Amino acid sequence: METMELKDFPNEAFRAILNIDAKQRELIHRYLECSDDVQSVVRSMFAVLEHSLTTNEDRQRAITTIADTLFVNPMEGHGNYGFDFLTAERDAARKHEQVERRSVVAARLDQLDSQEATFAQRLRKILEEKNVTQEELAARIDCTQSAVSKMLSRDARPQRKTIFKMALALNVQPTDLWPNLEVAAILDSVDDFFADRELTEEQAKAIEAASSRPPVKVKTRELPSRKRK
Amino acid sequence: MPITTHDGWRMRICRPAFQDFHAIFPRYYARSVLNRQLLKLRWWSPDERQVVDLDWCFDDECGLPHVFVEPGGELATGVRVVFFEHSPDPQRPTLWILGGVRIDEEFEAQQKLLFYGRSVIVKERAD
Amino acid sequence: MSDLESHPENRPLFADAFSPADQPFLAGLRCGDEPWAQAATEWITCSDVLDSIDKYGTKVWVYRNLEEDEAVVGFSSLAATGSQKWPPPDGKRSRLLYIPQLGLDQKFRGYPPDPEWRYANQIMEHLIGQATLLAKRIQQEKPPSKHVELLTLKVHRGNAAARKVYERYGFEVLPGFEDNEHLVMSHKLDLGE
Repeated sequence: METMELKDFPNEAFRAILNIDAKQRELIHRYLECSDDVQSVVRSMFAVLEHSLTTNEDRQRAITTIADTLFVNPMEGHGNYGFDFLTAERDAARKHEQVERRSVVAARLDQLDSQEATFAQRLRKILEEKNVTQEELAARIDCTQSAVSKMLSRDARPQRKTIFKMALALNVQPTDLWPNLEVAAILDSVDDFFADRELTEEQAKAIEAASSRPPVKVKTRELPSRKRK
Repeated sequence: MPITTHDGWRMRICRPAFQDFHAIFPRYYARSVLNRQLLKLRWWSPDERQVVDLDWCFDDECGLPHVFVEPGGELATGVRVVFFEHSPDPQRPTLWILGGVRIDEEFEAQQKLLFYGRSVIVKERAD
Repeated sequence: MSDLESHPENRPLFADAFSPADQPFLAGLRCGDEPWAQAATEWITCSDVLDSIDKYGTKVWVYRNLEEDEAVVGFSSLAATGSQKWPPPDGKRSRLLYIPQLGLDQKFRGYPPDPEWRYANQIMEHLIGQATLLAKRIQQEKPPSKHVELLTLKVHRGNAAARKVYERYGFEVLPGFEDNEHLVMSHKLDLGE
């Protein structure tokens, strides 16, 4: 029997293990059950977490990767790991976990379909009116005829820059091809304002100036709530 | 929705990728639009420089291809989406979406390690 | 004849917290044909309002003008932004109160004629009141880095009419935050300090 010196006993490691709670024990147990390759990935994710220069975004990516690795959570109908992308898209409305959102999600997907249909219809009409073939359009916007064909048959949604390139190539306005370009940009701009922000000098000065002004005295009012039946 | 299942790659996505996109695009509408762009990967070919109208490239360091979805309109920011080919069943050629970063984010050693790590998990676990 | 009898439209709106159950009654809401008006309509009638509530804790109110009618005439919203971090060496943090969207059905623009009861004014006054209450509550309950004293909003560069309304209610342009489509305006809340 191999003898061990006292110095060979991993006292600190044993003390650490004895002091952990049930959740941590389970984490370690799951880690130890993984293959060497997967354990190596988990270790590299922890290294990312501990690195002083890791951004919050990368920290979050490392956490989700560790969680996904150690807590396998197969989704019914999607196999043992991951999701079928097409099925997830198709079921986005029908199987949304919040039942009250299903109709809203379905309406959104219908809207996307409708936008693509309108675009395809308008593009087809403009190509006919201007006597431009798909090949010619493809050459003008530096893509393939197959790509143009897919957009015309609604198999592929054009990017915004593609819409602008097509509009330029066909000498029409982008809104002739895609009517609601501006609405989407507005909604994104509105949402963007919520984000955490590192202020520029100009922005910091503007906020300081606005904050140091006297408060505005304007009329405010309370409004009644409707009596519910 | 005019999606065909019998042409092109079978497409799979790992859970951390979903979570990446949730973080980049809190609005459901923006994520739906991103998903529509990523559906173009069904027609990805390593021999063509674009996937329909999406630019893509291959990163030699991490050995993974990326596709770029441009900002504009529905998408407040562009996204670099990392994917790769892994087909446990050779009869069903499959692309996996591993995740994404905003187009203005760094894509250096640490980020490449993250996605490379995810590809290892996919190879180990996917069926 | 009382004022209400001679002008029955001169009455307070009803304000209620939005819930997803309200969305079917929003189906007829049209804020207008301009891109910013279409965006407002889309925000409240589609998934954006739900995303905003879920992700940012946005408070949303719907306004009705008749007690017995479920139809919504307008809406407003209020949230706190993420952290605003000053450049080094200061590095301090604060937040802003923010109105992501508000809208009024286009058929009620300029209605009723009496400014005291005009729906747009009632909505603004209600919203600023709610912002003041929220800011005071935050002052009592949260650490100083979370306190808010500025109420902000984005106004489309082409929306001169809205900008006039906001200016009447003490909003001024906040330089440095503009983008291609919008200016940002701010209003210093009266917190009774």
